[in-house]
Amino acid sequence: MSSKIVVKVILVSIALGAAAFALAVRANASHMEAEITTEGPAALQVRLRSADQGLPIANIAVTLSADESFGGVTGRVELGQTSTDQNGVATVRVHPLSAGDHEVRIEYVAPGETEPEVATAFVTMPGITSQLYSSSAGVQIPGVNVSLLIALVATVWAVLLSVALRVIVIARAGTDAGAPTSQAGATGGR
Amino acid sequence: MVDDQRDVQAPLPRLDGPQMGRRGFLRVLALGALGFAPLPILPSLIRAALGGSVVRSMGDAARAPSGRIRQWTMIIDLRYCDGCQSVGKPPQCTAACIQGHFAPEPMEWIEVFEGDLPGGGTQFIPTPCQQCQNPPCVNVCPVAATFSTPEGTVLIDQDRCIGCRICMAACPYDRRFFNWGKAPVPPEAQLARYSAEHQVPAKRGTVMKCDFCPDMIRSGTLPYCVQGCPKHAIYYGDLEEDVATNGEEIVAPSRFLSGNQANRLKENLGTKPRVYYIAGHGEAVGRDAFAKGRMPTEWPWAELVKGAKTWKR
Amino acid sequence: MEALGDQRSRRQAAGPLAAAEPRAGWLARLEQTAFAPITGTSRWYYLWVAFLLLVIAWGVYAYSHQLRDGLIVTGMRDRISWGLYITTFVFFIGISHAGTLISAILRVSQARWRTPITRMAEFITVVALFSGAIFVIIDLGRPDRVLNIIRYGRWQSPIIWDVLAITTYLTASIAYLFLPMIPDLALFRDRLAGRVAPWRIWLYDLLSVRWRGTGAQWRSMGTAITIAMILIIPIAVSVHTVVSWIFAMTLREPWNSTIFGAFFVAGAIFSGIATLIIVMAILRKVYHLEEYVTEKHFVYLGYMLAAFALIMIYGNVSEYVTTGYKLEEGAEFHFRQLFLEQFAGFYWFYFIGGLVVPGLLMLFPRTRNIWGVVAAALLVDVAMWIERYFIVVTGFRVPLMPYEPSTYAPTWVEFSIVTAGFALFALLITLFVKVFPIIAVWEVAEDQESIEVAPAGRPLAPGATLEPAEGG
Repeated sequence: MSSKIVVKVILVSIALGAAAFALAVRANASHMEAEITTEGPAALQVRLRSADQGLPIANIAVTLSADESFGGVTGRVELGQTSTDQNGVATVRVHPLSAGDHEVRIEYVAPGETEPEVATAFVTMPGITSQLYSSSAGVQIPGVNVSLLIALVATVWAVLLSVALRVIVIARAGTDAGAPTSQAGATGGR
Repeated sequence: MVDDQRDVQAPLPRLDGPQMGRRGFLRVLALGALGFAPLPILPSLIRAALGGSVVRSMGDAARAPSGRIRQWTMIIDLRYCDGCQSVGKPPQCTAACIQGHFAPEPMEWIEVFEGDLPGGGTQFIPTPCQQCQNPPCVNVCPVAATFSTPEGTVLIDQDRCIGCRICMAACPYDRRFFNWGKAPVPPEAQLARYSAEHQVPAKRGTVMKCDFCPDMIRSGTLPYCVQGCPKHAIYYGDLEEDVATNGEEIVAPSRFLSGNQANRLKENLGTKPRVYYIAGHGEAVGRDAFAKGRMPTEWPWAELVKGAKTWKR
Repeated sequence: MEALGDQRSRRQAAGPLAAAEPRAGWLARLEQTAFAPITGTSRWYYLWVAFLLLVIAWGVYAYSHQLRDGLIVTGMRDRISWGLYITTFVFFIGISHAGTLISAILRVSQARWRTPITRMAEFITVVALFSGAIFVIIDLGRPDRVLNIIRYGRWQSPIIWDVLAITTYLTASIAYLFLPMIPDLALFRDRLAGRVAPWRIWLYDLLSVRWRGTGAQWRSMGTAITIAMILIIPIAVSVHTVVSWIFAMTLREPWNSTIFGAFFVAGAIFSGIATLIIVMAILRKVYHLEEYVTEKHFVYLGYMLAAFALIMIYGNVSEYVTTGYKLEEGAEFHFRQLFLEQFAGFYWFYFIGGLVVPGLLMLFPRTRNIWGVVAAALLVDVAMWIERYFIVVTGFRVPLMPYEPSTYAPTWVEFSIVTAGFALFALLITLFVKVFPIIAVWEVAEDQESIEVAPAGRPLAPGATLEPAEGG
């Protein structure tokens, strides 16, 4: 008699365990299944199927949210929302989440119901390492930059220096000339 | 006049061209160009040779867990800002900033302006430094004393600033302040080393402004103004990771801004500020648009310092 | 008109060589006039220099206050953060365009009447640039870090463009002042030995770089002057353009205008001509240059003054009619403060007293003389300083955010330093006149020579001598 009870208990616990396992692997509501996959780093795809027949459920609004933490505060942030198409697939464009596992909350109102239902799923995001924002402003026009200014200033100074060198030339011409010719330069000879 | 006629008929002066030799002249010119590195560009050449860079980093750029560099932003929800009328005190964001940074009097790094609304009411607009992405102040600074960081904020190095104040002329938001006199030395200055991220002690003859509290946020603490607001109207966040918080709740800036039709100040000027505003006049905390006036700002810490030098805006 | 006896006695005083030369009378008189400031100094001169030094000393004392306590001793504050110093800086840089216009533009266009006044114009340029540059440094909050401009200078900054342009212009102007002065310095070196202190002869010897008046030397100098005069015109235009861009590169409503560059250059030449007229009038009186700097010069400069007044009126109309027609945000406030309220007195004095009245003074023959021209020039200079003042202050005063507009009240420190700056300007010219030839002797003589050739109808053969001229 005790062995019968033990076997019953074991069977029930296996059934319960299997049910629990099924619940854990698949996000199940009372009569719908939701599956979530990533489509690149910036989109999440949600597939809604009816639990009993596995048929896709179309035209249901789906809202995704996740827990985020920043500045010592943790809270739920809405990631995006859209509706499922003919195949029961909703592709939600999200801001790229950081790499790794995220617990995503899927909220929807099943057809025929009035209360929203919530399911959670884990999704593994591929990492994004490239910066989305870079702080730079301006329009790059080839050639129109600082080097143009540097070249201009350098040219002007080179010419000025050549003018200054003329003074040395004058001085040298003076030693070559020897004795002074006239006084006031007005009628200086040519 | 007779003189004019003579002027026209008279022969030309002696300047009849470089007969000394065009070649000689060209030789001199070339020598002049080659022999002397034109003086104005010499410092640039030296700097380039020594491999110096313009931006002096305080430390590594703040990074998100994904490794991407944070892009700090602030979102101010004006539906929740009533100028602290309901609290009965001077605006607390300003007060927190003044106390936390020991901002010299009369500087209000975040200043609550009261703007007019169509219809006759007013709204309160807390205005920190807008941390522009096309910053007029950085563009005009002659010595790169004010500079943009990789996180998108704008800082000032008071060790380099020469006090020419062209940045103050250039800022279209009136967010830069000058140390006209010697500001009182705050207590933390005795222990802290000056850095552009921690502007203490203030140096006379240089410019200061709101810096988005980079040293605090790097360690996960929210800026003073965000913490100080009793209505949690100010959000601080990262555009890269799309997350922001006001100390109570977390939002995704992309949705928060688009969903509430956020705008920026003086958008038409093209400065691309990082501070966003959601329109309102404090209605979410029960303010009537026609309840005008706010308490004037105070600098309690400065009054404790003996012989504190202050001046008017 | 001089009596013949005077002429003869001057010829004899100049020495036996002079008597043997033709045209000795006129030339000798010219040289005497050039020597006069160098060979003798009156008591009034010393008193004048002492007065200027006193004013400058008071300015230095005021600046010591500023160095000790910081810029808080001025009236500038966060909302209006530039004032008298930047006003005076822009004003002096503007005046420096006197030299460029007279010396370079008139030389390029070979206008002969410029020769007696080129030297004064070039003096003014160098001195004004120097005085202006000082004011930027005085305005700095940290003048001890002024070398940061060289160590860390950013090419993209309007202030660096300013520094580059002003240093380039100062260098070019010094070269342009010095080169045509070489023959005159040689004249001083040759003729003043024994009549003046030895250090002067040493200085003239050094600076005249062994000038002998040979053909080769003339040609070298001619080339150098030609290069410099062509180069200095774009340099000068760029200087005041970049000075205006300190304002025009900001987003403040009254300054956010594309015509600032051209407008400021026109204003600079305008105030430069006016300053030249004033300095000319003073030096002519004190050093008896009446024979060389005649009413004709004043009237010609007066015509140029009137022409530039018209350009300035056009600039004002361009700027204000286009802005005022639309009245964007900030423009209405600016128009009220400038034309009707706080700054109306300044603006209308500038427009009517500084632009319209000088034009009218030149229009009527009654006032088209030395007195009329000098009066016009005085009005212009005062009006242009006032214009720079209200451009700076009203630009800052337009509120950027919802706050009450502030006021700017300059303090005694600022007034003292600005006055000392003007005194420095005057002092430097006064000292220049004592050391360097006030008038370009060789150019004036050359000009006179060419004038005398024409009536005879025959060209001047190289090396030929001339008949003595009758009168001056």
